[in-house]
Amino acid sequence: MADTPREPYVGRAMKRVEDPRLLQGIATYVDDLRLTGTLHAAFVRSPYAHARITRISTAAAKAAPGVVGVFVASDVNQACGIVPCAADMPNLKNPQHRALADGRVYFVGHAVAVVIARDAYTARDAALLVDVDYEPLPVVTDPEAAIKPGSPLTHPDLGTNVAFEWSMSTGDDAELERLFKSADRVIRQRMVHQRLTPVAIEPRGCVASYHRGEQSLTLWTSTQIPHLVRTLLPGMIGVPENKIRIVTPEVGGGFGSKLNVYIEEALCSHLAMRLHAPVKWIETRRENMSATIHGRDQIGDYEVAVKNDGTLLAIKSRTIADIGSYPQLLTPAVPTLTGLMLTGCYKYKAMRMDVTGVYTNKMSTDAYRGAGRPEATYLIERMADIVANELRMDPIRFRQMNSPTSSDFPFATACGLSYDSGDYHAALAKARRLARWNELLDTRARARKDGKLFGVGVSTYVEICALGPSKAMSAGGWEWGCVRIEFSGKATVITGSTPHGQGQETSFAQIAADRLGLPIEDVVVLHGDTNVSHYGRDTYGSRATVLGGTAIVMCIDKILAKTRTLAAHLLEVKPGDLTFEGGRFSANGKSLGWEDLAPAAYVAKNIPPGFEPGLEASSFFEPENFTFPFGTHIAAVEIDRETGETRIVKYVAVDDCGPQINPLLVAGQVQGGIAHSIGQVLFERTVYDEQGQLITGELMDYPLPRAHDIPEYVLGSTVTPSPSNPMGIKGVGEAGTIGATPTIANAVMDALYPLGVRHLDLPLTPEKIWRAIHLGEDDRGGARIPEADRSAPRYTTADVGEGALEVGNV
Amino acid sequence: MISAPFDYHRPSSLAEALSLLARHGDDARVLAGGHSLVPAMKLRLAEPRVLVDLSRVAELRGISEKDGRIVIGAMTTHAELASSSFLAAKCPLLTETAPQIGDIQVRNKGTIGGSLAHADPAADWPPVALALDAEMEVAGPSGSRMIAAAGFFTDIMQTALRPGEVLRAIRVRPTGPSVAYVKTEQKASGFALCGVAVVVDRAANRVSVAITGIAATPFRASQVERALEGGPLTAERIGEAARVAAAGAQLLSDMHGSADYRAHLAQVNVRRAIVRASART
Amino acid sequence: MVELSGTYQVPAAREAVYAALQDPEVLRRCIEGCDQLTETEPGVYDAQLRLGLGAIRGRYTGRARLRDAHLPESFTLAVEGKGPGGHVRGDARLVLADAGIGTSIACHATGDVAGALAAVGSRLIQAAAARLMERFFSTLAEILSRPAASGD
Repeated sequence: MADTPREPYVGRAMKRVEDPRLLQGIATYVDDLRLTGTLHAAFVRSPYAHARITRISTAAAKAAPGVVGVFVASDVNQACGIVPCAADMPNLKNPQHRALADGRVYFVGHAVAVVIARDAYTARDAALLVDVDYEPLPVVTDPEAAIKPGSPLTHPDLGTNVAFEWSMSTGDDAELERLFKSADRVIRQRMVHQRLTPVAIEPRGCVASYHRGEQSLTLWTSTQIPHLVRTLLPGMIGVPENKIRIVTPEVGGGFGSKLNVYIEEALCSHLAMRLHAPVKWIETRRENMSATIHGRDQIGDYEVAVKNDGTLLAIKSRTIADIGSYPQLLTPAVPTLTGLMLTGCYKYKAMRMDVTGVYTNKMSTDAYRGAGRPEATYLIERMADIVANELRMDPIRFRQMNSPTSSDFPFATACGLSYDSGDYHAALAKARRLARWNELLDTRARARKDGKLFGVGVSTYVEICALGPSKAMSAGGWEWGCVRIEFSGKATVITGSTPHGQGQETSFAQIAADRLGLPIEDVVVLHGDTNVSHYGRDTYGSRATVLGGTAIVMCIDKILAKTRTLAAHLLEVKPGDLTFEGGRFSANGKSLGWEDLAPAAYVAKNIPPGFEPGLEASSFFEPENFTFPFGTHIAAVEIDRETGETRIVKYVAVDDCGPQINPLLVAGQVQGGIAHSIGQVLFERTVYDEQGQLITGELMDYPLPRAHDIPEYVLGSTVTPSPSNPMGIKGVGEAGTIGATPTIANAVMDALYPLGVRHLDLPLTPEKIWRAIHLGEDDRGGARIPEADRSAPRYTTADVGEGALEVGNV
Repeated sequence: MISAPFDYHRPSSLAEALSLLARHGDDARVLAGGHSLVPAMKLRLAEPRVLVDLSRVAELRGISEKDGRIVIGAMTTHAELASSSFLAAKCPLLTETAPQIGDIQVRNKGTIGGSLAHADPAADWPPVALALDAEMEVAGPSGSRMIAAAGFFTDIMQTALRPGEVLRAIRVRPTGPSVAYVKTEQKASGFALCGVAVVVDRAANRVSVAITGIAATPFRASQVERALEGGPLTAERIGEAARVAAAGAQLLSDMHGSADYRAHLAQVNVRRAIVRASART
Repeated sequence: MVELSGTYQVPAAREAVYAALQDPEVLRRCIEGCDQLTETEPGVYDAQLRLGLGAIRGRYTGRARLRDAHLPESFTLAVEGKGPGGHVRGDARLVLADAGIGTSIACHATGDVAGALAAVGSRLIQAAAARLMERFFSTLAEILSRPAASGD
């Protein structure tokens, strides 16, 4: 035990304890599991977007050597239940998606049959022997056409393609209309948030094993939410919750795509019970692209009421959400998150959002990195530029005048939220400083003089994180943790917020080691096995560190209080006389460390009266509010006028996620998030053709950002602690992708501004930009920006204290 | 992703490879680097019953010089070509193109012969072979023959190779430094949306231009070449000549690039490639 | 969706062309990659095919039905194919007209492709279909110009 005080671990940029096993290839993923007698599943999936199944012949597949069974809807659907949708959407029409297609397929990739064989090769070959006859039905692919009378129906039984209609508003629609009437201008823009494919590097996969003697099921699955799977699976397959153990071995990425319960998990579980053998399924990349959830896919018509002096009054959104063919876990909730964030970090007086969720013959959409909030930030920050342009105002000045100052917090938004803390102007000033703002404007002026297309873009964002208070979540928004000081004095920390790459084995160890006064090597963080981590609400919505970390702090506080009574008893002093420092309780020159106190607590021969043996505590942390991280991102781009290709020449991100437990992890999250945005802004999109065929079904056709697409980032931060948790932290998992999408888009549009182009929808592919430059095509429909306006200054220099420039990651 | 079952042979000599191909006929496919064939097999878009893997046929590998020609074994990898200082000096178009193919993993396994014989309409080597007036040395059951690059790419993914024949080597003349390969990538696959290979022969006062990615087969932009015949390579003349880069081509069109855009890229990349090549002396 | 149109000249009288186009053996030879083609009932043909381009060639089972036949002017072939790479369906409308000593055949074909083939083959499908059609009619012309040719 260190006698000299050391620097706290919290706040240090420490390398992850997870990394050595991941980098050496000695980590265990689902596919690495080898259980004796494992059977392998392969799926027969629909090649059609919508078709009647007129015949399924399984005879040839069943007869293939090594095949154990072939199952179709009538064999398993009764036993596997309905895919759960936990979103709170009262008027949702639900087609009741079951394990296998029963008589009708409604998206490409819809599972029709499953083949179980002694090895994966036999299973795959036999799946191709299942002969299915399809009679194609009319296909619904365009969500706007789908809600018009006479459209073909995704689910004829529902009688409509409208899955749900949802509205939220500030409350008084008369006031909203009054604000629109009194406005000097109403500025409208339609924006398309394209469909995206999450593409985790590790596809999904699971192994189910049923112990007949114990009547208990163990499911190893590549998921973000083992606890939610354990809560929801009993409703599908009928095994009691306390007989189910869910284990997430290493998970190679999720981005929301593994925040779900999928049919394959229920089917493998059911078949393991039925066939008395472990059943394994590993998703192929093509399955991953076609039958794992997609993200985004909203079309919005936005209207902003504004005064000529730039004062924002009110905003309305009419959104069509193409949710695909059936609801997955949170599908209808995603656009409602957009609604909650519709006013961004601005002092709108009123808002209204109307969402129509539409069924189409595509894979479901659901939470994908940022889940509804990137849509909100994108639209609000694009709108900020569009409005500022029309008013011929400096977009930054426009943002500043419409956003709350640090003294305005807590800040009540028109969406009904209370932003607990923030200093938006400080983040903006810091971002400008790091971007060398005035030099950047000089560079832009010079580039334009030379005939180059050079643009700068800014976004000031706020997000809703640490999801969330239970009142806002359908299945509880708390988090659970447990801390145990072992007999040896070493600590075991157990978290219910199952990380899958975020690095909480490191950051939670930092938190615990500091609070317990232990060296970090003596702290182990466990997670991802419901027999170890009994409760949890897992990782999504930038919640793990805030909620899971706070639960750990609560546990440690309990243990310290309890241990204090033990130490006082052993040292024969009053508890209040003890000091605790460096992992030791001391009084009167005598002290005891964990290596003394833990054995005493477990041997329990000399303990104070009423003292429960052992040193373990568990806690549920229930937050009183969301957290509201914010920041400013600035990008500069140059566009090749001839080819339309965009190059990001500068990227500055200043994020405020409160105090940082581990700045290296924060930087990693921000960098990854910005990379996601680069993909979304410049090239990614999921494409179904008019027949509902997924033509971006492979990585040959779905472009992901690669190393050479990523510029050098300049990352900075400000620290405004959140008052809603003891560490003041806010979450950072989605910040990058929430802040970056509008920033890069605004920069591209700024580069095209001198040509009179008003708005282009994402992705801003080279061809799209080329068509805008050379053929005058844009997505605003209207005429180009008048010649006289194109030379309006847009962006002005500012006194941002460039003398005090900080460099590097600050 | 699992392919259909197949028999696998890995001969150690060309003669053995040819005899395997003769024995199995149309059931057999030649496996070179496998970066096109193996993914197609995993998607079951190709189901050869027999694979003849040429990776251990030593005589198909390597770079040499013979009778004033550079001879490149068909199984030479993109990475080997990229790092050859001999080629950098003697035929720099090859060393300029190779690093623009795929990523490191692809370049370490993929081969120039595999790329040429597969004749993907967006591959990078075919226009290089055309611009260099390469000769394809082909081995078959009835001996060897040479096929000029100009006659090699017969249709989309079709070549002049006959059943049972194997591309053995590519022969090219050394060039000066005035060459360039300029490519716009299809963002997902890394294949060419439009790639342009240029060789400027100063002695003969002639420019060779070949284009890939925009039509069913790579082609020599002969109208561009003719427009540049016999005069100085000024910016104006190059710009003017590049305008006809895609003239007459049956343009491909898909979600990654419309016919219009590909035609436009052809003009831009032809101009840039000629400017770049002619600046290299 | 794949859409193809073309007009082809063949050196034979309309009746002979029409008859050839109903002959399983002629059809088999004209369809590149067709290993087997049998008429299972009048106007219905089952086929084993190897379709694709170059090395990318998969195995498919197909069925073609003759529809809307107006002897000897026009008919439609409705084609369905299934294979591990996906499903294909399409219609080919053929209109025959006298043209000098021969016959001109106007062919308009539309088709849909489903499955992996549609996902990854999009840039190649149109080309493959065009090639199939060109080959079909060039082989037909060849066969009809040598009516006495002895099979393969």
